[in-house]
Amino acid sequence: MALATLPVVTHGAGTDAWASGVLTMLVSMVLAALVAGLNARFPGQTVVEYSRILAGKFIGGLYSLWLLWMLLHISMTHIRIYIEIIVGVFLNNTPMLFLAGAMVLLSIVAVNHGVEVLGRMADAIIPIFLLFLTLSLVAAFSDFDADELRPVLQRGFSPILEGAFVPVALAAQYVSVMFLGAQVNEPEKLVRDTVIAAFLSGLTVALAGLVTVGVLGAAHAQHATFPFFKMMRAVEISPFLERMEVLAIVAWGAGIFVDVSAMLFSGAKGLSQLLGLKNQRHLLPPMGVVLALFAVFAFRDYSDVAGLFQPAVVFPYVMATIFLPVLMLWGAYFVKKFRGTLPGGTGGRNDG
Amino acid sequence: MMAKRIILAALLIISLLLSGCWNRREPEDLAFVLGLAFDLDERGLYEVTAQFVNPRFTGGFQGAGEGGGRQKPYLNHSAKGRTPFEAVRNLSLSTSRILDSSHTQVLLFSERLARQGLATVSDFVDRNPHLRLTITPLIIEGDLKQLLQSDFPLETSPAHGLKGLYNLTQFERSLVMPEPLIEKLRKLARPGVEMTMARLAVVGAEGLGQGGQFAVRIAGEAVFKRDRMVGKLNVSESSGLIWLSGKARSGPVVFKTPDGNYASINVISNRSEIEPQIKGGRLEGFRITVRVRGQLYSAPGIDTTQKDQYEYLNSKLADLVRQDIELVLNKARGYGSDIFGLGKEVHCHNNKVWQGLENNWEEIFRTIPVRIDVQAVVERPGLAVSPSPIDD
Repeated sequence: MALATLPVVTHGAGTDAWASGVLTMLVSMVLAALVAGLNARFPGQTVVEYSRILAGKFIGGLYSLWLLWMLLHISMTHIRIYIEIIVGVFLNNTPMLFLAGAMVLLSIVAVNHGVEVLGRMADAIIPIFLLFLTLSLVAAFSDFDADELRPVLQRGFSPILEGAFVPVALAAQYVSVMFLGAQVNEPEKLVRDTVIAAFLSGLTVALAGLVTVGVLGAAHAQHATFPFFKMMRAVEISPFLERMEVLAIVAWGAGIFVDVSAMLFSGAKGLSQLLGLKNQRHLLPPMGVVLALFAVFAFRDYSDVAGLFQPAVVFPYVMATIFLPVLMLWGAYFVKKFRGTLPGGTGGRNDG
Repeated sequence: MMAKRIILAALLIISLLLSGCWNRREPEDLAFVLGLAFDLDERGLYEVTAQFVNPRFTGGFQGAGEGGGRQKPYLNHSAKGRTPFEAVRNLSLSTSRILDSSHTQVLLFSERLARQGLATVSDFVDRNPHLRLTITPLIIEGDLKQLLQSDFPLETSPAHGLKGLYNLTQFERSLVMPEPLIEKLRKLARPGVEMTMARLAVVGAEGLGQGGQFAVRIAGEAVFKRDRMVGKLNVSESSGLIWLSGKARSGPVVFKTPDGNYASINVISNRSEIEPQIKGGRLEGFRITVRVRGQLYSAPGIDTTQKDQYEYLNSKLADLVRQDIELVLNKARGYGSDIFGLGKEVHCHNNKVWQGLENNWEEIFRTIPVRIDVQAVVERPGLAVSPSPIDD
């Protein structure tokens, strides 16, 4: 997630990209807490189930459908960004559908084995992801120039806000916690863990922003299509140690794979509950096809992808689609709780 | 179970057949570019010359041995086009292999092109996914093509030779700014600082015998304004620039001692700090502090066991460094090109003040008072505490 969002952190804020990263971290922690907190109040249930309790069958159903659509949108965008860099830089002639298909197929295979496999897989991949990411950042420090980060706050706070809009928007994928949360062994730890995850990924955004601007300079960080990648291209530790971008690409790919799998699982789970199906596995192949096709055909060219990431477009979009609904659900929760109309056993103290 | 096994086996076999991919590039279809040179012809077309590894030479078959005789380990090709990209692709009109530029070591620009402006080429380089941003950019004065055919006896190709020359000059002579391409691009992009680029002069072929040998040497730095080259720094001025930027790694400083001999000090480290003097929202000038540390290499006639002799050496070193800095400062002011990044420092320290100055910075830079404070320390005498004894 973190690396995928990086292209845009540096766009808005220039020299202060790191500050945008910190802001992203804070806001996504709040979102994570909101999302996971809701789940912690309904242990073992997905949003499909508890939104029915909170908002009634019809509105709850619409609501879940809406979240599912968001998940689809976010994951197809993730895939598309990754494809853009693969096709744009490494494999110019490879059909995008092939790449999208390969990524989605891999995710389907993983998800097909259930949430257990998904978790273990994330456990296995995240150390690699972190290792590669750390290596890339450490490598980049040899070409780091602190002067490029000054003057601090040269255009005030608004560019920082602007720079934070987009990564915060991508943090909307924490919605998948509303589905995945039902599966965890220790629901009482859900809020804590989700917030920690948001903290770490926000920290990554901030650090990556810091290093990218320090190596490339604000202007180049702002004009590059993939600033983090470009930064890695500019790094040379010694004449024998260059081409560090491989580290970043592998880390990024692994991260996207975990993301997409998690979202695919959430989507399948949610949809099957919504439709009253017993087994979500049958939904995976058609969902995968839709996801791969959307990733390729929903955007005409790079300007469409970039257009989506204009702060003026994506921020209101995500505000309206994620934050507001989550807050409304909380509202419904408190209203019900106040009236005492919640089914028993829930509404306990939040452990987060 | 059986069915599963069959499917598994089939998948494995299929995967063997599918091992190709859309973008495979076999090494035997590639020619690896070592250096790319850009020039502008009379009609304004870009002319690119690529130097690449001669595969017949490195491949180890007949060409490589004594029998091959006149084969060189590299080949040059030139082509023209309206854009750098077209020119590069036109190279394939006369080559049989795909030119792979991802191993390019040096990026050369002719003086003519540099004076016209490097914007188009820098955009090409910036967008091109194959070229690294760690390449060494150089300005070439004289005939590019001749240069690319000249012999660097210690190296396999002129491109490697130029890269080596540039690196060595950084470490042994401190005459060129140790900056890869990305730092040049950064300076281009940043307000309040102008770019410089190392320049090489092709000295000519006279007296070098047959075989097309051309001597080439680092001539200093070229001064830019935005993307256009506007002037040249000679060797002393380039040294001044390096001192002022605090980037000298090693280099000789030579001066005359009172008894008429020459003494030499090797600089071992160099730092600098540029402080804008801002009072009440007004920029009054700059204070530049340059720190230099050195080691004595030869000082006949100076009794270095005496403390006051060190004071003398220190002041001498400081004077010489200051002289170079003053030279380059005056030169750059003459060009109106802030190659030291004085404006950048104002920008970093006080953005508000900078906003007021940015539009007239060139004029302000020409006249703004600059105080140069050089702190030089000759730290040690080498392996002898006094001059090498000679009996008279």
